[in-house]
Amino acid sequence: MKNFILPEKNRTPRIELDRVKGLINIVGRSIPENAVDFYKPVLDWIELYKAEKPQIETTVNMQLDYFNTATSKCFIQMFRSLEELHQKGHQIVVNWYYEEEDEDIEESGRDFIELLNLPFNLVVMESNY
Amino acid sequence: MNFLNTLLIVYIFLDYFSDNQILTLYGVNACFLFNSVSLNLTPVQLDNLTLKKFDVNKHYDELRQLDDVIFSYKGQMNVDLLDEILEHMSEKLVDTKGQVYSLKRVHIIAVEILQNLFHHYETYNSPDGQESTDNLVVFILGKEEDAFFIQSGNFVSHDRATFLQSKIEEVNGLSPEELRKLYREILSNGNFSAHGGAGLGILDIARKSAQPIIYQFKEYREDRLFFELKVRIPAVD
Repeated sequence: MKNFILPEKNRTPRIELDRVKGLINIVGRSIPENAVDFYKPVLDWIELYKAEKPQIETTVNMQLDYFNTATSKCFIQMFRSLEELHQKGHQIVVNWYYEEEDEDIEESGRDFIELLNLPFNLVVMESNY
Repeated sequence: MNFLNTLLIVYIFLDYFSDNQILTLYGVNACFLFNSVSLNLTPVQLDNLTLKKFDVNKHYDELRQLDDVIFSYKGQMNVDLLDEILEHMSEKLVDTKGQVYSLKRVHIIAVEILQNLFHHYETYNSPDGQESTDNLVVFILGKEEDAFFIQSGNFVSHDRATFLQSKIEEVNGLSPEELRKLYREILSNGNFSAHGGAGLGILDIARKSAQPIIYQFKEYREDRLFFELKVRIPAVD
């Protein structure tokens, strides 16, 4: 299976899905008008990754600037899908990055921690501003 | 009962239903808790009492002339327009040079509101496909001394109005902790339509703004109400 790379745009994040490294990176802002369409290829890729040869360890790096509620629904779907892999004995680590003073992104991370059964790290970064 | 007293009562009564209502409200900065026109009023009562029919163009012109308006839009809504509005709105917001996390919060709330206007716009297009003022949307972003505000307006049916009223009342009645809990519940259920839905947007707005959501309906014509939403977002220094 191929890697999936999408450059960052005005309203959508940079996405890197790398099978060999077992890496999922989502970086930037995510406010697409139709998040379901936008994230479909990502969810499809993860399904394929799970079905083919997933790595023993998969790292998910989420570094969001801000995102709309439509996106959060896609994120929960993505995490749930990875949860299945985790239950089958694969190691999954989610790193949720937030800037020190960014309460909203920190709080969103806490929402996901509460709802998921996955190793989920909140990683604080120094403010860029 | 003397004549003056009677006159005064009649005046207050009429003023309550006139279009001045919103303007009066903005005139007094502190007065955010406006008395919304209750949906229980039947159209018949309103027809008898309203001297002027609600005029969206006039209403918008009055709103955008207020001080503190950063960005305003009135018009149709489609995917290209949505893109353009988001673009301009973001630029104007950045120009305010506010605290960065505060601006991000305002921005994401504005995005939720605009995308909502877009998603519900199609459903309420005029049946004959003719251009009319019945399907105009209004969006205003402004900044007062200590808070940003976003005000939006669009036409809705009575059914939609009833739904919106119950959703907003529900959300306004919740504590921050209850809001968080309900938000997580809905997110967890994953029971969404393709376009948002399930009220997650309104919950997110309430959580992030940490203020009651202000709203009102104005009678326009049969089964057509103008729905106005106003959100205040405290500015952080």
